[in-house]
Amino acid sequence: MQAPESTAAASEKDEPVVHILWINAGLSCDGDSVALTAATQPSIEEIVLGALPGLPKIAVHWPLIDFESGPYGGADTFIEWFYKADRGELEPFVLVIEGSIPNESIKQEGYWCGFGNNPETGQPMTTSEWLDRLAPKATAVLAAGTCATYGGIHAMSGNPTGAMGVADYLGWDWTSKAGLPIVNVPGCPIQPDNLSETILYLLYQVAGQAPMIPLDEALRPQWLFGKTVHEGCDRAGYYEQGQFTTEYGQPECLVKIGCWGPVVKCNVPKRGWMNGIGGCPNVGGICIACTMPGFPDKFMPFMDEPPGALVSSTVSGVYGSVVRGLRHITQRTVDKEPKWRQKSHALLTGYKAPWSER
Amino acid sequence: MTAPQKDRELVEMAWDPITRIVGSLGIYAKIDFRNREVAECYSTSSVFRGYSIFMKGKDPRDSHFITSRICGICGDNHATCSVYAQNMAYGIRPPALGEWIINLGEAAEFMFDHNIFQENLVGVDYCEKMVRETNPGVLALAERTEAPHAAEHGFRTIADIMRSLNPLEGEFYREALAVSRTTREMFCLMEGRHVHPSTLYPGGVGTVATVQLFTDYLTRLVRYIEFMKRVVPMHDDLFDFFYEALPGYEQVGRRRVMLGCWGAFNDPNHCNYNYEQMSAWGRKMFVSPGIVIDGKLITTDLVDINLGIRILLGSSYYEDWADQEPFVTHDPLGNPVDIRHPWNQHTIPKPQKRDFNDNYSWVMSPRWFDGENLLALDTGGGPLARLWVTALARLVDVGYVKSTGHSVLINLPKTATLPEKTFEWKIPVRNGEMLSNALERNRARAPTSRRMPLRSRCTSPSRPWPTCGPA
Ligand code: SF4
Ligand code: SF4
Repeated sequence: MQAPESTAAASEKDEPVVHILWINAGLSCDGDSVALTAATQPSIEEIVLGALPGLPKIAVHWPLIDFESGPYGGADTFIEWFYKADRGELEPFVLVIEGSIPNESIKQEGYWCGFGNNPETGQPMTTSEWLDRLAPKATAVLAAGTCATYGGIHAMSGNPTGAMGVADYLGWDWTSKAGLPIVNVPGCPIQPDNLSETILYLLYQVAGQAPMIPLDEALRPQWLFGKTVHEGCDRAGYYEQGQFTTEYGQPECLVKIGCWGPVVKCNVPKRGWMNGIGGCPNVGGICIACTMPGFPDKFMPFMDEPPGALVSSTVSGVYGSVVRGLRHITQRTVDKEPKWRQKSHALLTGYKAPWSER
Repeated sequence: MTAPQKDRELVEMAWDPITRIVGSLGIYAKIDFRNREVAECYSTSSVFRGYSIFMKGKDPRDSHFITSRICGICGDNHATCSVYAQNMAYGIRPPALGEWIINLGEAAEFMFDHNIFQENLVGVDYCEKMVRETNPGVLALAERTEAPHAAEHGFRTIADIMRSLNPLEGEFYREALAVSRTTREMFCLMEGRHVHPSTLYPGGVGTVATVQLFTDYLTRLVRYIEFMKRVVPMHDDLFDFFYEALPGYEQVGRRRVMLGCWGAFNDPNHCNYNYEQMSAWGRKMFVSPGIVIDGKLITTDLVDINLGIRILLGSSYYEDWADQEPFVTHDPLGNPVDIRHPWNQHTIPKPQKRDFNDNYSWVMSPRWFDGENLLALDTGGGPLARLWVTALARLVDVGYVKSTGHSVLINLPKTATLPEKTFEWKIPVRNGEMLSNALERNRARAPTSRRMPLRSRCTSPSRPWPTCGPA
């Protein structure tokens, strides 16, 4: 999908086009693609139509709403752009990955997920093979959503595919040929504007209009993930007054019915979900920590009061600084992925694989 | 009737991944262009995640938070189904207000889904840019064809409608995208977040019900209704034009009329989440459950619908489970439960090469057993089955929506600039034949019904809500 003017016409004017190649075929639900269509700050139309000053010309190759739908070998073949990038014919491009990366090396044959075909074998090209081919050629790699960033739901204990995040696959210290680390924007799904804003930032950076994107140790944009849910929650007043609800649909603090807000890094209660509307604890939904590297395993059962919450809730106020210190300990553990999310020839999730019995 | 083998010159064509649909779907076909026929066609889904495996042993109260992640466009439907199933399992009945909030959230989800799918995903197939590339003669005809309902939607010719659907450039395309956001705001008012809700729980919702909450929803809803008063006649003009412009278009996507609908929107005055009384409260849903075969309504009983479901392996990469111990042999009413019913399903992945002569997909094959045959029921993407069943069942009459026994009347109130308006969805018939095809699936999506959206990735798209679960 691109602005009305064609790529050819643009290059005639010698204006480089930044391609965005979007692979939604990790283990995902496509919810982060759908989230991007909800964004308004900026909206996808504004990005593609170049509505903001200083934006480079871009062409988005995005399965969710792409015009291109032609057959293999025919006109308007969507996957052709990815082959072009693989052949080194697209420069520059940003690679967006949606979904966790399953471990394809824990079984004898077949594939957990594929995206188009490998022209040499006629079999599906696995998402990890696409990563191997395209990551070295990409100017930047953006992992969209908690599955792509840290493994997420599909990487929970007992999973059969050995799923992991992009950084677990490529390496946490991986950098692109342009020197950019992987950019992680977690969220399950991603908060729409958090994604569109990060894409915007990266486009400005690629165009030389912005300094290096500031990321934290989990490769998240610092300005989006620097505060806890609790710090941005409009129920924190109740927390501080020791008013905790034990029922649904009440305005008080939710910690006793399962809110993990105090240790979770996420801006949703402050930013809302869309146009300031919705969210999680701010509108009565417990924070299940969906942005976190330790999600979901370190926060389940979601519906129970988090361990230690009562201590910190009863002493809130007076011992504030002690609590902050204690929380940092919890925060460090929940800010780490479970150990089984890694590249390995063995499946470490606890699932007994029927295919390995043969 | 297929042409004899020797006359055939088959051209292989493949589309993979299919764009403008959620999920990893590929289509592989052999086409006989001389006889204008698709001789063979295989559809494949190329992703496996293993929900029914990794959910084992987890706290059941967390299940709706997990099942939601099966689909990133209809996550809410999965979460809702899981909450319904939990209510039944725990024997709890949410307060009426909680049920209404879920219904309003679901309703907003359908509005969002129909809107974005129809105008921004499917609509692109009918846009000027696409028709110009694929059928220039049809575009020329569209330029000369006046839109019959021009006064209602403002587009003078059919080609004007097509231009307005062009991706991003088209004004209507952009307006629809913006409307899809408003409907998502409505959803977020009720359920916190779109697509994976934050405020749904077994037994109720965390949403704080205030006057402001409902005002915020109502104002957006009424603006949406005003929009729909323009959109429905516009769709009719566009789709009717395709029937006229491309003779034989009735056959595109045509299937035998075999539709399954699990119903939607529980009535808190009747729904007590007790399986023994499910037949009764199912018939009180605001979209009727039922099964339509060859145009005839054969049941509206949720118990029958549920018990008839079978999950077959088809051409998928799983091992059979028929030799394993069943989890349940009888339902709470004492009816036998088949080993291939989803309640007894085991998911045993067997990754292997894709082979179109053998196994070629990660998706199993759900069927409905009518006592004799295993039928490949379809939901028509959702809305076609919902309208068809609701129309025939004659169980719904809430003023705004009324089933007549052969149609569904939709009465829309006065809005800011447009007067009251009644739409009528009728059983689609052309030249004496009932039609379940691509255009009618689209048209059904236009008024107010629900589709189980874009679920190519949900490995068992036909699971009914009492058993709707992960894979
Ligand atoms: S609801 Fe959660 S985030 Fe909000 S104040 Fe309570 S613990 Fe903190
Ligand atoms: S508040 Fe919690 S549950 Fe909500 S989006 Fe942020 S991390 Fe996820």
